[in-house]
Amino acid sequence: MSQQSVSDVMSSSSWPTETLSPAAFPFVEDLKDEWAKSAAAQQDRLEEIWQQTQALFKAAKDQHFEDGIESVFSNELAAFVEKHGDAAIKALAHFITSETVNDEVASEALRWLGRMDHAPTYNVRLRLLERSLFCSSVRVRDGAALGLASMDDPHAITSLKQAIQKEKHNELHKDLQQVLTQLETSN
Amino acid sequence: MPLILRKIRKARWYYNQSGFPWLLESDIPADPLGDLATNNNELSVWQIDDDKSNLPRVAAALAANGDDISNLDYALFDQKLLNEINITLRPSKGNSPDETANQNWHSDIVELSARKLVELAKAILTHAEIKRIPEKEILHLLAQAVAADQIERTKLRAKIWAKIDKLAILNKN
Repeated sequence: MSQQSVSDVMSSSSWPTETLSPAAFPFVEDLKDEWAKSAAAQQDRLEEIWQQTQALFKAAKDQHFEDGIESVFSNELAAFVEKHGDAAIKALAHFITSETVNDEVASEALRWLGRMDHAPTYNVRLRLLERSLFCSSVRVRDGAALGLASMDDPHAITSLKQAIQKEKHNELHKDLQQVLTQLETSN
Repeated sequence: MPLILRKIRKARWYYNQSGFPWLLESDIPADPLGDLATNNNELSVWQIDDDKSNLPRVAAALAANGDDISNLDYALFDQKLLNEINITLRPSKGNSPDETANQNWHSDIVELSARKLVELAKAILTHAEIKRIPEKEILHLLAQAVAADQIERTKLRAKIWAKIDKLAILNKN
């Protein structure tokens, strides 16, 4: 039992609820309690991340952003991602792709997410940037393109090509093409 | 007559009337004004030679002021546009890590009223060339500027010189 995690024990495959009664194994009640506490703690953590994401975006609405210049928002965003990892990116992704965030702030977030040097979240950041190429706001799409240019990862080529095909804004179309050329020549 | 460059964020200037149904025909959106933030009723701009030969150096100087390597978006327009809307340009020392650029190519647009600022934004929207230099190109320009002693390495932020160093190693290999 010590080799299994609590969640393994509590999963349907390892807990034969149909044939055995938990009452027959008192330690299982302890495990259930432990699992419930762990699940509750996890839920609390996700709730906290969610609220922090909302607060981060809300506070950023009144900030002015300039390319290449760090802001309170960009610094807090980086610290938030470093602390919470993929869960932070998923929360950010929810607000950005559901388009419930100010366009300028979402665009700024995408620029800095592309620029971050944080290997554990690399893949989810890349996916968020690719997905954001298809947001309805031209500013958000621009931020996604710039984030992808910073990552310089040829894995985004397919998404970029699709985005270029869909892009109606002339200037952004040119900029997306410029990023595509960069990625295609990237080593 | 030289050209005038102002650093902007390109997407703030994306504009078509259909995207702003609430906007009166003679009016413009307010967001571009965010790129024309004045200080003491003055606006910092750079003078670019007609043949744009100093554009890469000015771009590097501007990027060198940053915390990290980034794309550089700019609006470039004919200086005579300022005369047409009765705006005064005064040469002044720039505030970049490139002293030559600061001395030779920086100016301030001065005595700016709110009305003149809106006129300037309208003129830029209508007549300026709005361009982007990609992040990768900016990194190369900065590396060249440092190598040519146009910019002192010590005046750059740590993240920038770390990327310049990384580029130098990649180029060696």
